[in-house]
This record gives sequence, structure tokens and C-alpha cells, in this order.
Amino acid sequence: MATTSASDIGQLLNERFGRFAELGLLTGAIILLCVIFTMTSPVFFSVGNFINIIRQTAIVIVLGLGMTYVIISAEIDVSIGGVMALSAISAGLVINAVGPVAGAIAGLTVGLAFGLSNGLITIRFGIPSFIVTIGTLGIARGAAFIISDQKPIIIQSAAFDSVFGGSIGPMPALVLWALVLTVIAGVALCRTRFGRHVYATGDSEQAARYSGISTNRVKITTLALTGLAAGMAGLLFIGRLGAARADMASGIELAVIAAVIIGGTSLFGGRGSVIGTVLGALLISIIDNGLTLLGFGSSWQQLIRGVVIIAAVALRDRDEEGNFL
Amino acid sequence: MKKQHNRRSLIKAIGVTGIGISLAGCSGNGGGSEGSGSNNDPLFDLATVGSEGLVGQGPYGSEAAAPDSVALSDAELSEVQNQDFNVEIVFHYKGDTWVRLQREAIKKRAEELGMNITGIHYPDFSAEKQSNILETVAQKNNVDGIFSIPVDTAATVDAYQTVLDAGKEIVFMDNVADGFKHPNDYAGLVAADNRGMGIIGGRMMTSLIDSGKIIFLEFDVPFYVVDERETGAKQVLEESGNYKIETYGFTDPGKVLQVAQDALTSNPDASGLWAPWVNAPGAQAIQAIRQSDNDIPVTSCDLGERSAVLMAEGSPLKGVGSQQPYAQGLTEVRVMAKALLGKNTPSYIGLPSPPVARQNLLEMYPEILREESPESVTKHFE
Amino acid sequence: MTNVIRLKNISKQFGQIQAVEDVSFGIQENEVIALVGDNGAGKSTLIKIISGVLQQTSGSIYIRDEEVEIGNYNDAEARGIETVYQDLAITPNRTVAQNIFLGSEILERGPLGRFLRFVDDDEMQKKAGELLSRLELDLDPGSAVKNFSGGEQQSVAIARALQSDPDIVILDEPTSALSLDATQRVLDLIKRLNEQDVTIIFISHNLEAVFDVADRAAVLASGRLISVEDLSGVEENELVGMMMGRAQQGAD
Repeated sequence: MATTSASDIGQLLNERFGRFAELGLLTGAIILLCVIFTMTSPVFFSVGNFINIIRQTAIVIVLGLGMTYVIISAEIDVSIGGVMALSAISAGLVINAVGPVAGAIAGLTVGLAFGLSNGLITIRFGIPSFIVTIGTLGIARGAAFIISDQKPIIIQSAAFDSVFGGSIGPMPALVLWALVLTVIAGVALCRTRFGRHVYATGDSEQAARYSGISTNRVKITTLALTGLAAGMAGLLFIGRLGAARADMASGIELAVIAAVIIGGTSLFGGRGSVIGTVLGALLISIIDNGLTLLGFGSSWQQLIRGVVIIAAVALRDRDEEGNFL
Repeated sequence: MKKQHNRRSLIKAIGVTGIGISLAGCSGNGGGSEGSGSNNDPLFDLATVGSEGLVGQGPYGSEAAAPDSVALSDAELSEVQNQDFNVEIVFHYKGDTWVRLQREAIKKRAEELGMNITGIHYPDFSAEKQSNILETVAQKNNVDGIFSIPVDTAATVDAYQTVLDAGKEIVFMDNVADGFKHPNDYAGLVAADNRGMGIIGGRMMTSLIDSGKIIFLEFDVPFYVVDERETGAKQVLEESGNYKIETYGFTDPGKVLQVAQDALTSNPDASGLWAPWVNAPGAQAIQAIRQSDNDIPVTSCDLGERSAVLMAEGSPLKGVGSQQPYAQGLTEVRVMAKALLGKNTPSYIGLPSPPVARQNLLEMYPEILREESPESVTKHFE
Repeated sequence: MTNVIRLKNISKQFGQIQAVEDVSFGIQENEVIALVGDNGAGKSTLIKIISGVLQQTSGSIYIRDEEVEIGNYNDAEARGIETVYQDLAITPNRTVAQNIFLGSEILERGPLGRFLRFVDDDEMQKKAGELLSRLELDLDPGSAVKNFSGGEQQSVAIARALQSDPDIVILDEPTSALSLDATQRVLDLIKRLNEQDVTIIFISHNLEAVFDVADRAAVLASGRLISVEDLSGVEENELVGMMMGRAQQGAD
């Protein structure tokens, strides 16, 4: 069967190269796509286009950082789109009324507050995070529409615009933000004790608990971080577009989760990496970009994205019970 | 509380998409039973009901030019055909008749003029997706111009700017990005005369009833196209002085039935109803009317299968002001051709809104919608 | 010989269920004592109370004659108590070294001094290697635990328990899932540890193993302590009788 041999490849690679196997495969896929698109589209391989791609991926990457932590800890957060919208709307209103710094703080606070709430409700009441975050998604999105009165909020602060939406030379601020946050998130996950505890909590919650790790605290923290990431993404969004709309980023949860999964993180928890998520997000963006340059519309992009997600998981190693990770 | 927010927000999201669908009066089966007797007598003097010339103004109050003002001379025609220009279309989303008709028109006219369409994009009504697409298309060196309708005129400004900076011509459909000036920033705006559409509906109402109370359904979400229609209709009714206008607002185009029912209950003496478009707000209002004791006439905007069936079968819907998306598309290509040749173009071209009622339905349907009148409509004329 | 741990009137209730009832006995320093009894006798519950995973409903625990509260794993570890659970409680996708130091990760001197300290993988790998070779185990500390067999994984769990240099090691059914070969190795390990002055408490159904390594056996049935026997003075069938016969009596 095709899937059996695909996973055998995955297993083979895993045994020989360890966890770098999947990332290597992903990088190879990205390189392959770049080669194909360069051959078919003269402008693909240009600095301008690459900067475009990364800039267009920046927000998904920032959201993906938080999502990576959460999914590795064996939870999930599908409220990020709504929280992002509410953060952006709140930030927009405060920026226009008070100032850019207050606005930025407001946006981040909203995100963090929702993240913490998600965590506390999940842990205190024992409700699965998937269900809790579906609820908070509705609350956040609805609140965004209500307080913005269904009108877009146009940002009237040049300072805010340049910090979050401007450029330093040819490098867009969005890209720099994404880069800095990726490095911080990646190093923290890989090299700090907390990061190790996140992995352990997702890998075997019981083992982690028996070893004295407060898995409750870990999960509340990862959910809070995701909320904070959504707040940050909201700020970047209004930096990019100059306006906050309550209907922004609808459906982004799926794109972010797809990036995380393609990047090698297991929905069961315990496995994954920040760099994988970044590569996963870039893969999707490159596909979109290449197809747009070729004149293929959103239908083809959706179709190919779906194929990529399935392929990314099928080529993966299975765990002992035979489940794809 | 939670549930309400949940639904509402979902509805908002669908609602914004719903505007797009509804605005073209998309094809959907006209529901409802046969009206009380099909009325074969002409209701309106279409000459007077139709707005004379164009009424609405473009952005910054510019005068509207007529579509013929961009006709191409023979010399210009051959020049364009020889140049082999490449153009792309960036819509707001995919799913409706307006988009279909525009696409068909642009394809046809582009082909005649030797222009290649190298890409057609549908950003799912998302400002960020449209921005991504515009930025990417701006990179394509071989593309000479784009046709586009902004999803959000404020949020997409930077993206349109990159297209402009890349030296491409922009022809806007229905709306312009904020702050863009003609002729430096864009080649031209081609739009339906939305104010005229509203005026037609208002005038039809004044033909049907001399005075009385009119239930006026208003879309509460700010959207330029709809706001213009409301202004036009209200203007006619207010100027005459014979009508009392009772305004009822809605935010979800798919949930107007309740609003209409409340309006009818509160106003048992109402004589007529106006809705900014038929599918779904106008159609739901008609449903409410049928359920009530008050059989009042309705006028609205947009010609599509739904509004056609409603008019054909003798429902309360008596007439609409229509768009002309196909003619609009043809005109847009001519504007693009002129601009690519370096010729002057008018800043705003408005397409007049033809009035459509049962009396001219069979003639107008194929003309506007570029297809045979369907069975659902023709069977009421046998 | 002193009692390194003394349980006094320990009871544990889960809702309506009395898992452990009024258990009192002492564990002598440097002995190997087995907890035996049928299923549901309360053995696992009892050791979880000692290891800090559970708290007793009533009763006291004394460690070297000092009354203590063992509220969580860290309290137990601080008192020198480490536990190897029946289901091993290891994280399969993490490496052997990471598992051995789970919850007790070694930190290096980070760039920001006291504020930000990174995990020192090299040090953990080295120490893990040393620990494994002391236990005469040949496992690659950098390999993921899931790549090893059940017996090897258990060795990792044992190594984790030994990492903090405990005085008291508790093992819950250390041989039940193992081959004969592996079982023998674990029993040898228990003996070796005991020679190094580690007190061992272990639960086992395998009475042959019990008689092989243990000095004494505490017999539990239906949550109650039946007796504590010196294994040099009792036969296997007598022990079984105590586990079962008394159980019948206890039921009425």
C-alpha cells in the first residue's frame, strides 16, 4: 500500500538521521518547489519576491510559535483568529484614542488575557482545550464585531505604522519581528527547562507529573503564550494593513495548525519544533506565491495545500501503536 | 449570551460574503407560491422612471462620464492588438453572478483587443489575501495592468500602491482605494450607478402609490455601493413630500425576515416597502408580506434569477433598478486599452441603471444576465 | 535496626472505596522488603502515598522518627525516596538522558547568569552515561527511549530513580513484564543496590523473586496489613495462604 511504503521511508530516514530527517525532507520539498517555480516564473527567484513571501508569512509564523508550544503540550487553541481580531480592534481603538504605546499594550493584554482564560478554564474545569477554545473563539470574534460596531478601524498613528508595518532599509519590520520572535521562541523551547517540561507534558503527562513537573502550570502557560502570540499577530496585522477589521483572519486557525503539522509537530503532543513550524508556514506561502505568479487562483492553492498536508503526515514515522504522528 | 455572540459573529462573516452574493442578485430558485393573479399590464412608464443620464458622482465628487466616451478609434484598435498586453483581474471573491458576468465580459473584450489575461484571482473577501495577491502580481514584470475591486478600500491601500509603484495601470471596478487620485494613481473607475438604482426604485414606488407610509429597509454595515442606493431611494421619496419613511435597519442580509415581520406588525398601515437589494433581504421581506394581511408593493435593486422570478410570478416585487455588470466589464477593458496606449481616460465612468419590471423582464433578462431566461421565469408568461 | 520509614495507621479512601485501612508497620534501614498481596490489596496505593503521588486520608508517616508530610514528588525526593512505577512513567520521544533527568534537568551557566540558564545537555548526557555504566547497562543516552525494548526501558526508569542518589528505592512490579533473563538482571540490580546501602521496597506477584532477594515481606489483603514476615522463617505456600486465607476471613 502506498501509505505503508511512504511511512517506511519516513521510518528509515528517522532511524538514520533522527529528528533532523523530517526537517530535511521539508527543506528538500521547499527547495524543490523553489526550483520548479523559478523555472516557470521569471520573477520568482528575486529578492523582492522572497521578501514578499516572508512578509506574507510573518503573521502565520508568529501565531505558529504559540501554537507549536500548545500542541507539543498536547493541547490546542482554535480561538487565535478571534483573539487576534479582538486584540487588533482593541489596539486600534486605544491607538487612536490614546497613543501607539498604550495601544500596543492593550492589544497584547487582550491576547494574554484570553490565553490565560483558555488555560485556566481548561485546567480548572477539566474541559478539553479544543472545546474551550471553540467557545472563546466565538466570544472574542463576537466581541470584536460589537466593539468595532462592524466598521473597520483605520489606524491614525504614523509611529505605530512604522514600528510594526514599516521597513528598515529593504527589510520589512514584519519580517524582523517574526525573526526575533522565532529565535526567542525556538531557543526557549529547545534550551530552557520550561521548554523541556513542555515536551515532557505532551509526551507523557503522567510521567511528567510523577517526576514533579506541574503539568497544569505548563499547560496554562502554553495556552497563555498562544494568546499572547495572537495579540502580537493582531498588532502586526494592523501594522501591515493599516486598519483593523473584526472579520480579519477568519479561518486562520486552520492555516496555522496546518503549518505546525506540516512542520513535524504531532497532534498527540511531545514532538515538534519551532523551526519545523516556520518551514511548514513557508512551504504553504511558497505554494500560494508560486501559483499566483503562474496565474492559478485560490482554488488550485487550496487543492494543493490539502495534498501537501496529507503528504506531510503520510511520510512520517509511526508510533508504536501504528498511529501517524 | 455566548451562543448569541457565536452565531452573530459567524453571521457577520457570512453576511459580508452575503453582500457580495446578494449584490448581483445571484441565481437561486425563486421561492414562494404564485402571486394573486399575474399582472400583464405595464405598471410603469419606464421612460420617466429611469434616471435620465447618470446621477451618482464618483469619488471626490467627480462627474460621471458615459461608457461611450472611451470608444477606441480604428488606429487605436490596431495599435492595442499589436502590442500584446498582459492583464490580470483581482476580484473580491468568487461566488456570484456579478463576478461571472464581469469575467465573461472582460475575457471577451480582452480577446478582441489582443490582450492576454494572465491571471484571475479571488481572495475570498479577505483584505489580507487580496493584499498578498496584489503584492505578488506587482512583482510580475510581464503584467501591464490589473482590473480590481477592493475588498476594503482602506486596508488594501498599501498593496495597490505596490502595484502602482511597479508601473502597472489600475482600472478599478465599483470602488477606489482610499486616497488614490486620477490620473496619477489609477486609470479609471467604472461603476454601476448605484444612486440611480435607488432612484429608480423610489420612482417606481411613487408611480405605484401616491402617498402613504413606506417601510424602508436599510443595511447598517457601511458599504459604499449600498449606501448610494439608500441615498437615491430616500431622496426621491423625501422630495415628493407625500410619503412617510419608516426606517428599519439590518446587519445580516440573511436574517431580514424577522426585521420585516416586526416592521409590518408595527406599521399595519404601511403602503409600500423598499429594500436595498433582492437576494436575500428583499425576498425575505416579500415572504413577510405574504404572511401578513398587508399586501403591499415592493421595489428594490438588482436583477438576477430570484428577482426575475419574483417579478414574473406576480409577487409583491414590482420592479428593480438593475446593474449592468457585463457592460461594465466591456467598458473596463476599453479604459484599460486607452490607458495602456497612454491616452487620457475619464476618472469615473458610470453605467446607467436600467429599470426592470415584469413588462420588460423577458427583454432585459438576457440582455443583463447574458443567458436565456430560465424556465422558472418564462413559465409565468405562458 | 532502625526504622527508616514507619507507617502509623495509614488509611486511604477514594470516595466510598477504602483502598488502604489502618496500616502500620516499619521499614528497616538497608533491608529489602516486599509488599505482597492479591489484586486490590492496596499495595500500589500504599507506595504512592510514600512516594508523594497520593496523600493519606489519615495516619502518619515517619522518616527516621521524624513525622513528615510527603505532598508531592519533590518532597519525596528531598527525603531520599525515589520510585519506579509499574507503567514506567517515561516519556517515549525524549532521549534516555532526558528521561533520566526528567524534572531535574541540569542547568548550565547561561548568558544572563542567574536569570536565564539553559539546559546542559552535554552534562546530562555524560552523567547519564556514567550512571548507566555503573548499572552495567549498555544504552545510548542520546537515543529516544521508544527505540528500546521493554526491559531496556525499565532500566532507564530505574536509572532515573537512582539519578538523585536516593537512600530508599521503591519498585512497583519490577519484573512482571520482563523475560526471564531481564528479570534476573533486575533482581541482581536490587541485590547490588542493597549492598550499596540502599533500602528497597518492592511490590511483586513473583514470589520466587520475593524469596530470592527480599529479607521480609509485608502481606496485604483488602487494604489491611495481615502480617510482616521474616522470609527466612516462612515457606512460600504459607505466604500464599496468608495472602488468600486471611483475605477470606477479612471479607466477612
